[in-house]
Amino acid sequence: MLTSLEINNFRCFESLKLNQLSRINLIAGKNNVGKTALLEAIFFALTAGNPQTLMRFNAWRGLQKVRGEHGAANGGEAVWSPVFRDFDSTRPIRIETVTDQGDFERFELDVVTDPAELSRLSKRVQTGNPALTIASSSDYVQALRVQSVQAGVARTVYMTSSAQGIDTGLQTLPPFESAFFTSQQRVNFDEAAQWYTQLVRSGQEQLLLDGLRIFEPRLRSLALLIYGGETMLHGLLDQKAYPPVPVILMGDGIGRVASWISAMSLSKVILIDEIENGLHYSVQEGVWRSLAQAAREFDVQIVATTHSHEMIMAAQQVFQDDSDFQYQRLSRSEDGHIHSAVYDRETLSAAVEMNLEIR
Amino acid sequence: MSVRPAHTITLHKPVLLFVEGADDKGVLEALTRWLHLESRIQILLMEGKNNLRGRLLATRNAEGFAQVRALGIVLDADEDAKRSFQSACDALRVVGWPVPQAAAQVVGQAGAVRTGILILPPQQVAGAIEDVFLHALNDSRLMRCVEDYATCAAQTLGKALEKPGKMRLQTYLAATAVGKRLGESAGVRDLWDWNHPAFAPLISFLRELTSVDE
Repeated sequence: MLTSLEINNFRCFESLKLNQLSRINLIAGKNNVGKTALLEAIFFALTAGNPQTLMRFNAWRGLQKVRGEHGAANGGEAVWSPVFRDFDSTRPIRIETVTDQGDFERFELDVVTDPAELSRLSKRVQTGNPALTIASSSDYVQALRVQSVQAGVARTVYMTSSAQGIDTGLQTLPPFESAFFTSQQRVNFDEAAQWYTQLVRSGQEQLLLDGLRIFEPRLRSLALLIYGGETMLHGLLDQKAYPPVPVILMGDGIGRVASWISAMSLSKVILIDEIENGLHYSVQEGVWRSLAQAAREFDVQIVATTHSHEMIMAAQQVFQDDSDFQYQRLSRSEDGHIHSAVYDRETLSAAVEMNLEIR
Repeated sequence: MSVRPAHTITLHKPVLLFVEGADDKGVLEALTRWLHLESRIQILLMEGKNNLRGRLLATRNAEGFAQVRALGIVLDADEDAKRSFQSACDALRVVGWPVPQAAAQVVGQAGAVRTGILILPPQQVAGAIEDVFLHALNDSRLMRCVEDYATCAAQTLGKALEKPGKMRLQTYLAATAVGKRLGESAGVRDLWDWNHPAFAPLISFLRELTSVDE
């Protein structure tokens, strides 16, 4: 479980340190203070600094069509530029994490500017695709270097962008699994089916059933059934008159919660952006209880963001005597610097009683 | 239990004033209006001395705190003025803000949050905000009637009155501002003479707190 995180020059963060991360973490703050960026930084670290992750960030943010421009002559707008603070890739990104086991990991991202190194990488690109012939000028390749230290082992991976396309370098496996749920992401049927299968294998499907009954008390059982050629999680209602219904058709909220709980069977960290989406206020306390129970059963950490006063109030009600919960609020000071304020239980409880604005 | 949406408070004035309860809030609101300081002082409830520490911590993290220049705490002396003062000092210490050496003193450096604690009634070992108002009524003819009533009531009951100060003030208000609590009465035009020396320490404290953001 992550206990602290430090981010430098990533997205909107010049320097941000989060201490006291807990099993269940709720992050709030106004627009454009970096809540999603914070989840991205964590996800990047959890995927062992795999450059492929950066491309996924672009896709999630609607930049999937951005392919970058090649060569210094046209300004060198690279696909990775948006992850650097103020698009300034001369300042290296650094992300550091510490776990409750004391494991320290560090990832540093910078753009290669040394002509000799660029030339070497350019040749690698050419060798990798001999059918294409390009000049040996280093202008034709841009390179992002990702240097990491994990479990004391240092490693360097390059991601290159050239006329031949994007090469994300070595495809590494994450040290442990994580799942990132963006605010607008739809459930992927295959992934959901895999998660549920694992949930059944681990004998914990009741956790999911209990969680979904918050939304639909008539729910009797769950099953993976084929609908329209796709294997989907279905809900079977008490009344036998009703046919099995794909959970995804029971509403966005129930579909999202089903994904979160199912994903815990194969993950160590669950990242949820705008957790309140699709959740009526009357189910929010129940959702927190279900997530907390599942997180403990699977030994999973949750980091979620929110804009919702109701979601924060619901969390405060559920976790007011629970040391496994942490609330943090990101805000931007007058000089533009983003910092985090940690609310311990006493502080959050007082803020709620005072009706202070804490989103 | 489901939580319903609620209107939330943001910090939007340079001086914060923590008071114990609704009556104190009403009094301080009326007084700040009379002093034309209402645009500079935001009054917040602590709803009990024991809540002060948590509420200071919450305030420090709240939206708008960056513009706060001073923070005052107004407490009743209750049975022990020193203990009340010390409890507020302890809360300030936990939050890491300047701690005054004495009541009514405003301490701290310019550019940071300055703090002050006022214990009511000032310069007394025990008492509450009602005693400040009773002091302001020393010369009132109506108070002689109230005193007669209090004496008669104690004799009839055969025991000393509990909270005699509060009882006297409520009796006075029953005659002059029917149905109103102290906090509400503070807003009644011409009912209270804010120029009375009894209110001078309060006024001085508010002026001192607001002087830092001028």
